[in-house]
Amino acid sequence: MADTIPIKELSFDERVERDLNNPLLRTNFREAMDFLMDKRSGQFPDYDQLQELRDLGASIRRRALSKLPDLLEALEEKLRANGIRVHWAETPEQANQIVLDIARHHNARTMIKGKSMVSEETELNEFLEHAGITAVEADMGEYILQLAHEKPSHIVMPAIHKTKEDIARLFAEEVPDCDYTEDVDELIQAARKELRKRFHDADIGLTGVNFMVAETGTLVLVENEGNGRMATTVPKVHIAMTGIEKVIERLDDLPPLLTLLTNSATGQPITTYVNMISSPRKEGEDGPEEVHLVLLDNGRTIPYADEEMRQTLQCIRCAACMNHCPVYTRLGGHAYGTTYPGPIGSILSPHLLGLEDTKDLPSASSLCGACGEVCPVRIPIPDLLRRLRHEGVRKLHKGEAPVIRGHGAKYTHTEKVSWLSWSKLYSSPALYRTFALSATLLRGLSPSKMKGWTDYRTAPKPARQSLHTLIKQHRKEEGKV
Amino acid sequence: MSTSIQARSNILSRLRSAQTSPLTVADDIGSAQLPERSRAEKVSRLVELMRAVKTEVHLATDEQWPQLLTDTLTAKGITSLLVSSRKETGKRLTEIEDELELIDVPDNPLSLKDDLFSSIPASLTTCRCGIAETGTLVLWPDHDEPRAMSLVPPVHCVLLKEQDIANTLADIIRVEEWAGQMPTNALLISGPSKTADIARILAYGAHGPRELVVMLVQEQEGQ
Repeated sequence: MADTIPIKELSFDERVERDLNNPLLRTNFREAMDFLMDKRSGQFPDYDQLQELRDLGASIRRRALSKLPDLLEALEEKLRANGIRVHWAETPEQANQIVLDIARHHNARTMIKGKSMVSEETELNEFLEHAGITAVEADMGEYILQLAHEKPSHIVMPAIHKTKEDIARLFAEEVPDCDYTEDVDELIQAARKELRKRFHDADIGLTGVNFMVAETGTLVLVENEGNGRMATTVPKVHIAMTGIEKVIERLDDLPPLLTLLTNSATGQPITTYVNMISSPRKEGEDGPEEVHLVLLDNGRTIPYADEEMRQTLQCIRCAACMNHCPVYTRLGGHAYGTTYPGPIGSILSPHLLGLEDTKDLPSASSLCGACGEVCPVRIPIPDLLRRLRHEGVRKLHKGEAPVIRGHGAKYTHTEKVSWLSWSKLYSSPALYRTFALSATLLRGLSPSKMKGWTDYRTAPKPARQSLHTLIKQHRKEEGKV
Repeated sequence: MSTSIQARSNILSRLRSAQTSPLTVADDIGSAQLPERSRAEKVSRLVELMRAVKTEVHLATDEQWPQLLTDTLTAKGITSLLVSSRKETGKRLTEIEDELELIDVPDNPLSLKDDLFSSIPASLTTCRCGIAETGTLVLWPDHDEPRAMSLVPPVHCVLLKEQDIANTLADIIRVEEWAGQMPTNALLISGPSKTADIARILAYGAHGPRELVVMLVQEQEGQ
């Protein structure tokens, strides 16, 4: 039912054009990002303390990734011992099928969902819909988008592109017994009332996971609304779905990461709820009688193989990089055309989808460096963007193992030849002198239209005299004095 | 399920084929050092942070809290309260005049579901401790105080003792050795349920309790 925004429907340039020309969208994002940046900086008043904390956060994530296969096995063993069932999926299709099999096993008709970006990645709702199972989003932002048949434009605040008025109109049309109101409290109460019925009746609750603790076999969910708690408490089956990289080694590793996550994401010292789940309900307790964990690869093992690219997997999904990105702030999330937008999306999506479909993303950055400076786990996002640009125009050598799907997706013969000629010209003094002389003499002949460049700028024209000539003249004149 | 087993072995073998040098805790750099706090500092920070997110905090002596809670709820127009008769909270409330109808937690907590969703206006639970650093309550729900009890009723009240306020989550995890004894569900609660998903405007009472009421019991001289 939900209309997707397929990555190929419009080209990247067309999406950028569309969204840059939407003044309301640009105002929304500008204001929202300013708000989130202020909230974050208010929580980190001491610069040195923040740097120390970021060092620790980066260390914890690097340590976990340095032994990822071992930790995943340890986690699985702990979870099994605790009574949680673990499933592995290499592809989105496999992950969705696992969820469907569990649902069928329980004759489930309805599913209530907490926020899960991984289920966005696998397009689970659409898949279940085809199989006759209704999955209702319960995070307020996701609920709004499901009603509007739209995709998230931000990973923490999914409906941030929608105005109060948009939502008021939407609710008046779609939410039972909800009259048009722009009062946010009333809107939230209308959604609460509707979704409480769904929580009560749902056969299965499905959520994402923020951290998985290998030491204890614990799934940690961080949220403000309580939808995550509802989805993991009320239905008799809970399915958690997440990427293989979310594991941390010890319970002691959790507090610093929680601090970094909530402060970086929304400028809160902690969220309303931190929900740590270590087993299905035991005798005499409430909660789900079955808990399942679906671990998804979907291309994550590709950057893992490369020491530099592996750092992409350190991400704790706080969205600080997009909040601080001048490009994201002007475009919003939809222009990127991928589940994860902004700087983190531009370094992650090429691995999940391959560079053929995402070749423009690493270039959708001014390399200003803000993302790298705010990242709470010190992912060198600008370096990774440049690395992906390089891989995008590079053909593999014979026998060289690929580090990403779609090497050379942006390769063009013209560009290659241009750079080769440039390099020849600038490394041979005789050639260079000839070139400089002819460029200045024949400057009148330089083209007035240059593809890409002259769309927005005037064409460059060589100067009358080269710098070398000018310096020579200058020295001559000085010598005279 | 065979697909899952195959996927598992493919994923793990791809991960294992990568060149990695396993790091240990000793390789960690940086720190999350936070200031030590006296008892009074912990109380004042906790109260300040809780109130900042609209948690209602009432300071009371051990003697006073049952009546103070009853008055607080009565003022809100609440006439019944879900509370476990097997916990200190329920025992103490039964001692005072029954102005509130006390609903006991049944032996099978699952049988509460329909009442929780339709009629129970408020609940009172104990908590394991508080966390000063973040203004947080730590709950380990159990048979007597199930998970839904602190989640579904529109008003959730919590009894917290001043001496049970720790400085940080890291301290609690270490001192209480959580790693060896994690319960089915451990919860950190830091306010009433809230959302800013509509145009960044903060609204309380998203899916969980609209109000969180903390009875903070101060330790008296000579106790």
